Amino acid sequence: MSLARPLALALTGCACFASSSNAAQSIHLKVAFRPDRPGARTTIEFAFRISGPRHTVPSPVTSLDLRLPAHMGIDTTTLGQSNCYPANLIDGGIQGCSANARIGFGDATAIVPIGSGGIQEKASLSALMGPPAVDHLEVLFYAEALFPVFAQLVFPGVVISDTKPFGEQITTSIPLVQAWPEGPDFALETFNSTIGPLHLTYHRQVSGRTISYQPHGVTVPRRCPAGGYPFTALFSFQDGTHTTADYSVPCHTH
Amino acid sequence: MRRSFGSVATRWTISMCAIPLAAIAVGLSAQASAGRVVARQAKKVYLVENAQLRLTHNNEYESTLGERGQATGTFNAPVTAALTLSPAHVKATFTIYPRGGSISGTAQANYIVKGSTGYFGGTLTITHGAGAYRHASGKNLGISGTIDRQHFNMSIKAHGWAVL
Repeated sequence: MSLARPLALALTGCACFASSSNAAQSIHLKVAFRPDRPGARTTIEFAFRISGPRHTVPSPVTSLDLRLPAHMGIDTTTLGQSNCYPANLIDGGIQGCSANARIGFGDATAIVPIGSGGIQEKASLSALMGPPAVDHLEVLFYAEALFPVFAQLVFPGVVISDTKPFGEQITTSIPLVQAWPEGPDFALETFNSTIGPLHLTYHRQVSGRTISYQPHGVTVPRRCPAGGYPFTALFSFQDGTHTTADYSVPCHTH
Repeated sequence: MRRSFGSVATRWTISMCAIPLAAIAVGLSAQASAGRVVARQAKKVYLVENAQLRLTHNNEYESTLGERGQATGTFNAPVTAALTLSPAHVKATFTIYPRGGSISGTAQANYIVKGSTGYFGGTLTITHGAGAYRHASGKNLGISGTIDRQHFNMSIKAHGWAVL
């Protein structure tokens, strides 16, 4: 099954743009809820764009910590009714895991630095509930790149509790991947993903029949924090630098 | 504000078997019976309680689940609980309503998700009681159970020594 579905982020013009904490790499982070209605079960859409200094190719990303607003954890959702193991993804692709393990999807682009420019690599992205773990939830991001280089990657993410004003944090390790043997590493440029039921269909057995249904996503809290629902992303890069980006999804005023 | 999960039906079954100890007197409590208040001696008992709970609502902080059900065992009584789930832990407050009073407490447990089921295990503390159980207390009672992640139904077993 092709996962190369475009992630059309309907980002309603929010002025709360990302901020970067240093000059090495800059990050633009945008987040949207779909639907965006207090009390509604929703899908969270994330979009990152990474730029190098003076519009050069950025250093490869080695980890991404995404902090979610309080009361927007995935524990009280029905996302991830099955567990997925990394080996199953590597062996069988996205079909190696149950559709009930999927909790989101998206796409990503990376740059292969060549000379003063680079070649862009596109990949489809799936987010899945990972193996059971004792002290955290595990989320797997599975990337499948088809052109110009075929590659399958699994990025394991760990979901842990966070401190206020955040509720949970997803810490994802991103392995360095060489474009070819002894070649340069791919440099992540964009990363778009959802976490939520949008475009997901689960199946369960009821009285011997297979029922299709859409899982419940996180709920948009009815009480909006001052300044909006806060998201923060911390990127670590191969060159040893770190960059933080913040974004707040605005409160509804009506 | 409250938010319903729609057709969610959560069953919580608590069965408690009370094994009266040699009546360790901790205090006296009053038991309402047939309109009278009757002196009642607190005893240390071993509880083995099972419960099935069903989801009734999410509170305004949607990470907390409101549950209601019936306990069986030492008490055959209604139970309410509020659970807060986090990636690896579950915290709960609960109240059970036996005849003549109520018993309330808190619970903390580790939590692990395996597919459509969440498993938890930890300890329970009886913090206070009311009416005939106003002297109720207990610490480190064991608690374990499962959460159906489809409907957030719960099965719970609690056991341990308590003063009732």
